[in-house]
Amino acid sequence: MIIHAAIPADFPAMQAIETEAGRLFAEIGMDAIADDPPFSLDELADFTDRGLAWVAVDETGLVAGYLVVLLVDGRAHIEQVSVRPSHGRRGIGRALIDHVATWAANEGLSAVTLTTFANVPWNAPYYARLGFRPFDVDASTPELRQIRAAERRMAWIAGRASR
Amino acid sequence: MNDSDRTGPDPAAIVKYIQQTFPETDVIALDGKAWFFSLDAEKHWPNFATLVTTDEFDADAESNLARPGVFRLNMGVSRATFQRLLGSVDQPDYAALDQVFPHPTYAKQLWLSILNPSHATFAEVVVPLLAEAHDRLAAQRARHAT
Repeated sequence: MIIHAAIPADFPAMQAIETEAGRLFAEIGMDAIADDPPFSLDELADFTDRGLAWVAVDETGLVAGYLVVLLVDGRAHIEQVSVRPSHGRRGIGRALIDHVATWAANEGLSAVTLTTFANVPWNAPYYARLGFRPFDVDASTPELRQIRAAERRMAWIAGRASR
Repeated sequence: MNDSDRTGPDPAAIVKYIQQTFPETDVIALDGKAWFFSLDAEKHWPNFATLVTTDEFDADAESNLARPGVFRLNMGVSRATFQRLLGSVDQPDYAALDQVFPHPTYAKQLWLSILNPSHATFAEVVVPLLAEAHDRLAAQRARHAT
């Protein structure tokens, strides 16, 4: 498995992963998320044009997972990280997040943030294990506050500035 | 064996060979680290062959691709071919040059690999394996299309 900056050839796989991963949410009754359409090709191109998308690909050429970030309040905000359910529990999500944490540090970004649905059972323990901690979104993070409010999510942070 | 017997096609030559032999092939190249060969120009998947020059795909760098100029060509073949070539191999040497071995990770999916085939091995062994890998995928796609 290697992680590389996403290229347009990866877009169909990224969309397929999102659709497959969404089914996990349907299984716990969160149909609104499950039915959420994947990023469009234009939206994915926006991420790749700015160097803000990565994929994990195996040696048979299968794209097993992807991650996209937004720059929010001067931090790397993980907008989406998804792994094919068939490739779950192999550390691919963690590898993607580690890769982006290193990238963010090299870019001089102070931290990595993300938001999760607090009521999805697998989320909180997972991100806590990856070194994230719950994070009070305050006046210094207006954009993140907006994202969290719009999605009614819980905010998480990891990185130098979070300590 | 003199030196010219040990030299073989480099990745660029193999990519060119595949493109010329199977013109409908869709090739995705990753920064000189990997080439993926599929027959689907939209999804770029599945692949009938791949070529990699980095150990990053492997858990333990089994093929030691860090050696200068060393690369691994991988092909998905039939169970019969896999058995015929590798059925009797129980402890493959994943780092041996110019020798077919089961892929260190994807042998179960009937992928076999070779590091740096010589010109002779390429002509006698790799060319037919590439043809089989390509034809199997083409046949699979034809079945699904009907």
